[in-house]
Amino acid sequence: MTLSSTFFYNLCFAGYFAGLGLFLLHLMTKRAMIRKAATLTVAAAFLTQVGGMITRWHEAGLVELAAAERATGLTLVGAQRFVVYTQHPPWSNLYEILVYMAWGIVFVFLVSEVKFRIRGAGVLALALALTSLGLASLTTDATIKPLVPALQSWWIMIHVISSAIGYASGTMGAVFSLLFLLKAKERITLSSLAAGTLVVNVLLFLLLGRWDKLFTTGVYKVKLLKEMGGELIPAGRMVGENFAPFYVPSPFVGSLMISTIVASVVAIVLLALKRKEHDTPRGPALAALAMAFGATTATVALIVINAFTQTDMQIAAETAKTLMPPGPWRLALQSAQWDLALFGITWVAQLIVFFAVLKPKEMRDLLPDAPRLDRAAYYCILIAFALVAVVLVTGALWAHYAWGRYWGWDPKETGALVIWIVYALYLHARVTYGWVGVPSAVIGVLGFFIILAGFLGVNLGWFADGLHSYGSS
Amino acid sequence: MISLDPTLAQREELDPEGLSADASFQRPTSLMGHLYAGLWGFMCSLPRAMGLLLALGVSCFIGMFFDQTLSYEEHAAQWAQQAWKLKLFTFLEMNDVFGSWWFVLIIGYLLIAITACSVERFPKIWLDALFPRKHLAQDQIRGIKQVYRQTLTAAQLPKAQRVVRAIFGKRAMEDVRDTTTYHFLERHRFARFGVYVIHAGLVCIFSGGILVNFTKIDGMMMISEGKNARLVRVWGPGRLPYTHDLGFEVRCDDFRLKTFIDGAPMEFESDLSVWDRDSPVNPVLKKTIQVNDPLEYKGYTFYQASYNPIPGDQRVKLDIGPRGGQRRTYDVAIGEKVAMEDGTEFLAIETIPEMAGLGPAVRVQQVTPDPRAPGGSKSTSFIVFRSYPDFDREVRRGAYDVQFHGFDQLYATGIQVGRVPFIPFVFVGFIILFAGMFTAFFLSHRRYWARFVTLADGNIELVVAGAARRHQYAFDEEFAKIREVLEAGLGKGESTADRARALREARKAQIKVPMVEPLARPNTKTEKTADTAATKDTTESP
Repeated sequence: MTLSSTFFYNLCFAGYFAGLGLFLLHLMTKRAMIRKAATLTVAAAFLTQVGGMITRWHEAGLVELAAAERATGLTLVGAQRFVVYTQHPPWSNLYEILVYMAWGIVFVFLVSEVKFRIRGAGVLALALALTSLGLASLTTDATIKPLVPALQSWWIMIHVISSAIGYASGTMGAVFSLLFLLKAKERITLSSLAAGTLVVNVLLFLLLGRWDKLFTTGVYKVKLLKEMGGELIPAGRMVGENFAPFYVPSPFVGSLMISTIVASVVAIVLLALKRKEHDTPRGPALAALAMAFGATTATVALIVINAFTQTDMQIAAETAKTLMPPGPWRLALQSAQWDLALFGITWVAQLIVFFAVLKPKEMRDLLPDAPRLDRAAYYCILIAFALVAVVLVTGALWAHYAWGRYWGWDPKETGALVIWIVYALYLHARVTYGWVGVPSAVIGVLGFFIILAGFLGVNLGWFADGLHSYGSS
Repeated sequence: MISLDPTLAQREELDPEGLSADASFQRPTSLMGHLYAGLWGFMCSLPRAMGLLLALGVSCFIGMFFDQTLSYEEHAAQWAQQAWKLKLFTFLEMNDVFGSWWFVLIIGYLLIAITACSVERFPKIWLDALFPRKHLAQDQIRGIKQVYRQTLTAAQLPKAQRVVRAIFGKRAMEDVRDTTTYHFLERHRFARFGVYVIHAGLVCIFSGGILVNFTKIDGMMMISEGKNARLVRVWGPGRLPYTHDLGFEVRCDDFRLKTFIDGAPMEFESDLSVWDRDSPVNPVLKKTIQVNDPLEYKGYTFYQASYNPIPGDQRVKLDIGPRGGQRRTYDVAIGEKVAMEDGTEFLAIETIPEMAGLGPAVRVQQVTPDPRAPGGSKSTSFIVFRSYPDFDREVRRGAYDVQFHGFDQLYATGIQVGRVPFIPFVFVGFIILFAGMFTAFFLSHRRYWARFVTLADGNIELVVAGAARRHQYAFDEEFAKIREVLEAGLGKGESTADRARALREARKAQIKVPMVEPLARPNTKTEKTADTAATKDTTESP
């Protein structure tokens, strides 16, 4: 059997999954032994992933060599061969970037585990890493294609390494900030925290429901897929030179989303009114929170159920004619994988907050003391700030050589700049206002969403098209 | 929950020694003085600077939503349904957000605010760094979180001094005033300037960026192979195209394209040469440019950006020679004549990319001078194949044979031309920024004091205190180690937290039984009452 990178990645996925289970077990039993076993499992899986990345580098090197030799008709030798062989690092398309982000998150988590030992961080970090790996395998094209000329540069190494570790560090900073908010009961109540998560939830539902279109049409649309050669590919049509996937309503999800938004808004108002009186919401506020959480759960569950049950989609005949490839079409997890990942992240955050609301004492006892959480978040974001600065500078230098300008306000560049500005705000807030603790933790959590928007949102075309588009397929 | 006004506790945390508290502010007397002071205060306001940062982030997001690569007309078509929408769009220059008046306004304001904030705070910190308070004073102790306090007998003094000297090391200052001995040590004093270095770097970057924005040239030129060009198509303000004269000529000597098997471009490169009239030797410069490897001349940078095949403008390589003899290679365009010594002319009429499954071919016309023919010459045409070099020699008859060597598709190379005169300025800014970030974030200004005071009863009070500007938690750990050493040698002392706890207990006791024993302060020594209020605030805030 040949060892392919996919084999390593699958092994590593299993390792992270086992690590997640062990960390959950540790939260329940609080046995130090289990924690040690969990950390070792994750470390082993991390090394497996490193092995997978090296293997993929080798595989990509072979592809590059074959392509170069076929194109030139020469057999490459010596230094020339080495340059072509190594020029394709395993982080050059969206699939590889997602795998690499998971690597970065686990790397930062392992360092934080050595340095700060935050109980509970392991579960969230691994959940995020698994989400990233899952998205990679669900969504994107894993085949290795030769690099386009603009990517053939050594700047790609330092630029992408610092961006992965920088963004992962910011993500872990957000995780620690969230845990801090759960723990710090002196300055923030669980009521206001629950209201905050619901605000994020409402915004996300509005964004993914395409704002006003959700209310005017009452539907939530997902991509139409077609099974071909054991693979799911999107069905759609060519618009000029671009392929436009066809979107169909996911049955009943739209109305469920609207009711979730309504329930969430009611809950936000009730929670906000009582946010200073009670640490944990009671009476109608608790009922509204439960309703909102239940509706969110139902929405996410219905999308998944639709994905498994809608195996044969009927389309109006005149539309079907323009679609390629021909039917039968179906829905699957790939129809809405990005939406599901985002829903999943907020759902997990809500689950944790809901658990904390029901069992505040148990939840807070699980977490380490607030100063340690604050400190971990601070250092993570400090490192993220420094590394994003490196990303900006190396990106500008690389752009100078590849595209002929240092800075062109390309959406991806601007996204990185916004992330940097947000972290600058975080650091200034701490130093100049003394916003240590709750306010800075709130900025830290928001930073994660800015990373999502600036990093993935650009790749996924939430904004205008940019030059970084080769990251999107 | 979030207040813009720092509380006393937070202020104490920022300025543990209360240095800014006594800085008196003189009110201006004249009207102009008022105006200046008001304006200065407006510019120095930190909340406003933070608001600006936020505004900058939001405007960046706005710029991401509107496709900045489209022209005004393309955007306008989308917004033209309603007049007011189009007006708003035009007023806010949404097609060019990052060059719009309001964006430049935000950047400019931020630039001034950063400068003003730094100028405002710099002198105090400069003085503070030059003249640190080396002698621990009573009012200082209040604000310091890490304090070890112990009362020693005279017999313990030599040992205590040994311990303290061992902790402070050789670089520490030691000074005796009256009956009091002071020790002082500080580390990474210059780290306090890190923030100003960062701000200086940012000012460099921003002002450089604005200068670049006004002076840069960013355009395209398409140069056909073998042609010269000196005009660049430039997008000016508002993305209006105009041409810019380089003042010298760039020639594309050759263009080469390598493709993958599926036709996707693998690599493309152009041989460029620069022809400058001012230079005695021409070409001045020759270079092969690739996507990541530009040519630079007189501040201009020429990047390989794209390429375009020139349709119908192909060159054909033909090997022509006497039958069975030595052939010569001719590189001809379609329709171009090649004359042999005896007057026979050859010309390539058309290229055939694929001829009946035999591969690429070219149709060649041969014009032989023949006095008997009506026009004085006889012409025949035939086809030669690239894949079969000896086809013509073996099949056709005649004085010459022709071999088709290959096409040379002519390309126009797409060169992006850029000139960014102030870019070194920006990069110096980045170097300054990184140096500043390193000092500001990874180094921490730490100070350690020790004081031996001889008390009235002959005992000696030892106070060891430490403060750090950054990385408080790390410093707490560091001081905990110092405390361990002190406690091992001199016994368990008293920390600031101990005093605060004692104080709280005292207060509770006071509230519980105010009538019975109003002045009861159990577990509290009398000298502590002086600095109660401040101690409480600093120690209770997490």
